[in-house]
Amino acid sequence: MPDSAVILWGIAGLLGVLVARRDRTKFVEALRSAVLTLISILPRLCVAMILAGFVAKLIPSETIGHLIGYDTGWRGIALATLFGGSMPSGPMVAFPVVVVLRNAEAGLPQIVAFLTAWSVFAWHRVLTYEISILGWQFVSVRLMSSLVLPLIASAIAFAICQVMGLR
Amino acid sequence: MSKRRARRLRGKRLAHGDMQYSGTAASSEQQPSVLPSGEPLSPPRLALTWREVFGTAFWVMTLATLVAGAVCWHLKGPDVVRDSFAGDIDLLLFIAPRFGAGMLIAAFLQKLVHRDKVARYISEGAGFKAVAIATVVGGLTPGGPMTSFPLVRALREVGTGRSALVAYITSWSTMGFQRILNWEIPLMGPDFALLRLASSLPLPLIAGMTSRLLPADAEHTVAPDKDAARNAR
Repeated sequence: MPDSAVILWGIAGLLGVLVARRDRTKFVEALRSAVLTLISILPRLCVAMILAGFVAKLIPSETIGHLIGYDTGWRGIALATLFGGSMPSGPMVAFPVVVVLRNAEAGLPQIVAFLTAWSVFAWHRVLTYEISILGWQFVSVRLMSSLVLPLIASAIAFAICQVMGLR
Repeated sequence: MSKRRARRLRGKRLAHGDMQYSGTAASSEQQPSVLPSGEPLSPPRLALTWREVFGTAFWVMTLATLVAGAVCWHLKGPDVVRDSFAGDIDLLLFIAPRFGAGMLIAAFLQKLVHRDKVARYISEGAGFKAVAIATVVGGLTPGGPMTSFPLVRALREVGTGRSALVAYITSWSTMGFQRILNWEIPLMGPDFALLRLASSLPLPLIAGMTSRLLPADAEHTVAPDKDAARNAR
């Protein structure tokens, strides 16, 4: 399998050609917006990575493995779900945390539970955007409908890991 | 979307039986699209303010980092702090090229995909079909919460069912391709991204169907009469 950077740049190049053939000014606008988004995220991402690095050094990987390792099963999945659901941040913090967890001894189904809970419940997003735009009644229905999702996702991940011999 | 506009859309919907979104609507009025036709999914970002880059989040995280660094230094010694920095630089060098490509892909796609097309695909279906379409479209919608939630609101105001909206948000948040390209593949690798994607496939359907089982009085959205009454107020 080719390197993921090559694939991503391939897709980016292809889409860039598509946009440029349609409209040059849109192409320039898109480039500008990509660079500005990058600039706006990079400082926070760097700080988050440094923070995650320190935290990784402070929490021994055996502890992480003990809490949410592959062999912890449902207990670890439940813990990872709670942990992920209480993350008050966007991807620039959540993903460095996930990298740290993976480099320690966290199990794949547990990480899937963490990420699913974080993406579905994301309470910073719920509070800042969702309630104000969609209203709390709709949001409460959505959250109630989503309660079991991290468990289902990690159960599927667990099954895939069993079949593929991953952990 | 303003209430007046929503009412006008509702009127169109009742008159035509189905929404027409493209410029072919036989009307002297503005096209009855969810949003003005051809509007890009998110407005182009052409300037940055200092606050956007170095806002509260940045300073809170910086403070936490300094504390964690100091604790690390105190408990484990300067070598461990240096080690940690070396690891960070390695990770950053690994991520940077992938991250840049991800940003470019997202920016280009926002130029290619238009919000009214996304809306049309979802609101045309009904029942199970709408949920299935919402799942696919949710995963393909570029943009962050500032573009997705207003889209959901617009869809709701033209009468899209609750289960499809829940499925859309679930799909967008768990399988949004932009997050996978920008964050998951660069930081966790394509194998992990594939595993998580496979594990998430049934989630929007489950959430959408579960939302149908919840009591109807918890919603104030779907029933056309209710909507009309709300708009008339």
